This record gives sequence, C-alpha cells and structure tokens, in this order.
Amino acid sequence: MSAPPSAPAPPAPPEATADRIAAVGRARAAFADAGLAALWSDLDHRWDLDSGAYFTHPLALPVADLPRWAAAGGSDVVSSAQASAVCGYLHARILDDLVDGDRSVPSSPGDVLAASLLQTLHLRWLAEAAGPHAPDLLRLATRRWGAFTRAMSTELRTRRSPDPATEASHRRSLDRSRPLALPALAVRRRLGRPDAPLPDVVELVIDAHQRLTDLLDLQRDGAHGHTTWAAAHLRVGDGPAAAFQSGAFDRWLDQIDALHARAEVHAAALPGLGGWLARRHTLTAQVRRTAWERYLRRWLVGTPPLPTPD
Amino acid sequence: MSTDARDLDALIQRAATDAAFRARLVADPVGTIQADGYAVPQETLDRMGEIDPVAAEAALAALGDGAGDRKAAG
Repeated sequence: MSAPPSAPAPPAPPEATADRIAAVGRARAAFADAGLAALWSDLDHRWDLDSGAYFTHPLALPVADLPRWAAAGGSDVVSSAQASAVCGYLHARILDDLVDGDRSVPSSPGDVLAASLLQTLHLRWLAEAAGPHAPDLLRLATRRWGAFTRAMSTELRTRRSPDPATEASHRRSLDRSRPLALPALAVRRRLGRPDAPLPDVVELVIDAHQRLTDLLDLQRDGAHGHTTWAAAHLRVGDGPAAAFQSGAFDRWLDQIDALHARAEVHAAALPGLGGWLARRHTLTAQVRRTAWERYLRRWLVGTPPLPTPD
Repeated sequence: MSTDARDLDALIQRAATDAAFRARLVADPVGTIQADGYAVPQETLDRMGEIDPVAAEAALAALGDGAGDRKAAG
C-alpha cells in the first residue's frame, strides 16, 4: 500500500460501517443460497468486501449511506435498499472493469455470471424497499440502467479516442453512476417523502467523485491511453508544469469543492450527508496540499526522492 | 538544519496551504520571497527562475499515491 495522506480523514461513524457490512452480508448469503459461494469469494478476494473495507474506503462513493440518509431517521426499508445499492454498485463495477480492460486481475467469465446475479438481487431488493411503489421504481430503473448501458457502450468506443475529453463527455459518463440513486429514491417514496433533494445531491456527489478520481488516476489513465476531462484540463499549454503554474490544478480542485458546497446546502434534509462531505473535503484538501508540497519541494530543492508506489 | 533550510521548509509548507501566498509565489517567486522575509539558499533563488516540468510531472504522477490503496475504491 502506498503512503496515506499526511493527516488521515476522520473515520466514518460506526453505525455506518455496521450497516454497510450488513448489506454486504445479505448479498453474500444470497450467493451462498444460490450455490454460488465461490463466485462471491472471488469478488471478496479482489475487493475485500466482507470486512466492509470496500465501502468504507475514503474514496468510496456513499453507496450504502444514501438509503440511510434518505430515510432521515431510520426505517425497516433501509436494509433492503442498502442491499440493493451494494448489489447494483458491484454489478456496475464489474462491467466497468470489463470495459476498462486495464486492471491487474483480468476479468473472467465468472465475473459476468456474478454481475448477472448481482443485477437480479439489486432489482429484487429495490422492489422490496419500494413496496407499493415498486412498479414506478422498476420503470425508473429500466431508464437509468438503459442510460448506464449507453454510457458504457460509448466508453467502449471512445475511451482511447485521440480527441480530448470534454465537459460534455464527462457529463455523459456520469450516467454510469446515476443508478446509485435508485435504492435511496425507493426509500423516499416508501416513506411518503419527496424525492428532493436526493436527485440533486446524488448528481453533485457523483460529479465531484468522478472529477476527483480522474485527477487521482491521471497517471494510470495516461498509461493506458485513456482520455479524461481531467487530463484535458490539466495538460493544456506548456506541459505538466502549466497545471500548477497556470492555476489549472487548483481550479480543478476548487470545482470539486464547489460541488460539495452545493450538496452541503441539503445536509439538514439528509442526516449523515454533512459528515460525509466533511470527510471528502478533508480528502481533497490533503490531495491539494500533498501535490503542491511535492511540486514545490522538487522544484525548489531539486533532489529529495519522491515517495514511490510499493 | 540551517536557517536557510528551515525557511525554505516553512516557505513550502505555507505555499502548499495558503492559496493567496501560492499565487503570489508563482507569479513572482523571488519578489515574494524577499517581500515576506524568507531566507532561502541562493541555489533556490536561481532555480526559481525556471519552471521545472519534471517536478510537475512527478507531482501529478504521484497524485494517486496519497489516497491509499485504490483497490478498494470504486
């Protein structure tokens, strides 16, 4: 593991960790019931799911958190929605890795089989969480997953395009994350609450998350010939130094902070969101500080060895 | 550690966290250092006249390192 940021982000609340693990446990049990425990073990080996580490990582999206925030006070329907969210997210992650084709562990036919069962479980628990609103949620799920599939298909065609990525292509790519809102929306409707502000918050969170991960993955994406909007934004002009000297690097992180600030406005309506945003703000501040320290030290002092990945 | 080295370290720490100071430093490195009273080695002042693309490349390439193990992050 590479060196962590100099000041670790504050941990998630214990109850958040516990219900993430419970949601993963429901998925694991469903695989075992289907006689597919080995398929689950493969996923767990790859992503460390059973310990909860995958969904509690500082860079993880708030997959299982959204249904809890949406309930704003707890409800029996939350656990089904969280299990739905976990399965939907893992389904998307498997397909994303298949499309990317650049991870260290090659995708296998077993991944496709696991993705198939995960999608079924996602929809089953989505309907369970939605109760009488299940038909509406399943129609919405059809639209969201249709958009997801179109975005993945576009990604497959254009990922290595010589054309620079743009804001428009970035926005299209967010369709890959938009199904994340479905289980939380099921909770809102089941509890008779308005959808708002959940859709806006999810949009802001996934937009900021994609910008941050594209920034952190600059080297990896570049090595695989992938074009991202972050790379286009930071590598304009006179080479990489322009990213720092022109202010492009700071502006990129400022945009991420601004998206989080817009989400923060809704923190009172979605308990737990504020704490998550605070941890994310700490993380982006660490990224900014660490990058500038490395740049300035190397530029002004010249010789100190930079930390290198293990 | 010499006074120069301590000042250089303080300069870097401040620039990494103070956006306004960082903007001044990037726009006018030597002028900002002198105006704010930092005593830094002459070698550093000499280096500041030239942009170092290697430093920027290295800093950008290392961005993912500070975020921990990415295996477990979607």
